[in-house]
Amino acid sequence: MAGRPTVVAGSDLAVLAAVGGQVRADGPVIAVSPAVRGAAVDGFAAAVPAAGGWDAAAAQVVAGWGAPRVLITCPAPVPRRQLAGSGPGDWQAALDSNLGTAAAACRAFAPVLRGPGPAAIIMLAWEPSGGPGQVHLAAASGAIKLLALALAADLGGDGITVNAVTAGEDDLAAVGPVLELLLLADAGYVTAEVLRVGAS
Amino acid sequence: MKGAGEAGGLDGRVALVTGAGQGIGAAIARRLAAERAVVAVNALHPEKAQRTADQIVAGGGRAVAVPGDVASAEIVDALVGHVESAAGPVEILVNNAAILKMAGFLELDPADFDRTIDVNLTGVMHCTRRVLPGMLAARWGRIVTIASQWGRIGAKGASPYSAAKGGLIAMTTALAREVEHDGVIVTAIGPGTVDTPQLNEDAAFMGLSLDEVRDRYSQETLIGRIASPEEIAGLAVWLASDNAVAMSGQTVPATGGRSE
Repeated sequence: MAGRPTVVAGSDLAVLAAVGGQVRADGPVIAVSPAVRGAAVDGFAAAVPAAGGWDAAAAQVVAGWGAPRVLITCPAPVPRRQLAGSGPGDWQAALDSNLGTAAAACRAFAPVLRGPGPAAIIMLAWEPSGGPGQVHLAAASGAIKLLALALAADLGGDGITVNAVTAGEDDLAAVGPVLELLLLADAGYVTAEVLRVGAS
Repeated sequence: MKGAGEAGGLDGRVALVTGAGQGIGAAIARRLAAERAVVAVNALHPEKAQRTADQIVAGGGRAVAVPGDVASAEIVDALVGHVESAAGPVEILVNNAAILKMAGFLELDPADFDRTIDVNLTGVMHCTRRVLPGMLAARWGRIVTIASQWGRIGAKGASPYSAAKGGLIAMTTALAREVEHDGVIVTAIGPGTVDTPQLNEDAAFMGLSLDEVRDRYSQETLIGRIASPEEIAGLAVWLASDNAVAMSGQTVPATGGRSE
């Protein structure tokens, strides 16, 4: 019998596909995104649109495949732009596509992740490279990391671990092993942490 | 989520686990043996090393007891030599041996401070330095060090222990940078409170019963419990496997969300 589904959520389908292809799970891996237009996204068993609202998307996942055990939220690309030369729209777009999407996905899926058995939320965020033009990316990513820590406190009593994983834009293809580590049956004591891909 | 048996590439690997007479180290030794590694079981006291080795063999695994004090370079050299003769070069080193004597900084005997650093930090250096050349020659090796959350944040009554564990965390990253391109992956785990015999020492220092200490530590976590040695063992074995390359240099925290 197939296991409970894993949901990979985010604003950008290319990032979703890159991450989804690295997820090793017993159950179906389902993409959920406002950018989903059809029923298929490369590398996923199914795709669910979130343009009509994240709560509706969560309900559709539960109805179709059962309550998920894992939610992975993905970042979206942020154009490099120095703060002094950018407008409020650039700032808002970076926050909406990264922090806003992650928060909305967690808000919708956290209730259905609750029991029976352990569950996990993993929030992926970009690791700034340190070069110029990354203020928007850094702010959005920093906010996601702290959101994960705070959410871990809220959900710890429900048996849901919440961790953040940061990766450089060129390291996204190497995120699979870190996801695997956090999804081990023995990783239930790892929560409220930020792990990095390619740390050393 | 996956259970035991998922760590790849350990069949027939020779592993040395220090401080494996009880607690986390014994759990790691058992789990490595379950993954079909040949396990050299180190402990300071010969009877404890033998007991863990006997448990593994009774369960169908392969193990040899190699007791000795890791604070001594000469003893480490001899016990690793014994492993090499009995099973082959050490391919996986789990640095777990540690001591912790709870005492306020000014009440602590300087000899106890030195002994804690000697075992918990210098002992790791001795073991690592002894097995690393073989790993580099084979272009495959895994070094997993059991650090501590207290090595990140410090702890009242545990100044030498915290200092040693902090040193291990930094050493892990530094050494990883030296050897990761030669097939040797160096990682660490930073556990929070684990249900081991060490809790008796904590209880005595705090003037509490063992159950009261367990309750207090559990309440300080986000998930309301302390860890089992088997959970830490599961992480350690995964870091000893082929999967661990992406974690090079990192200390994986396992604290239950505890931050102080």
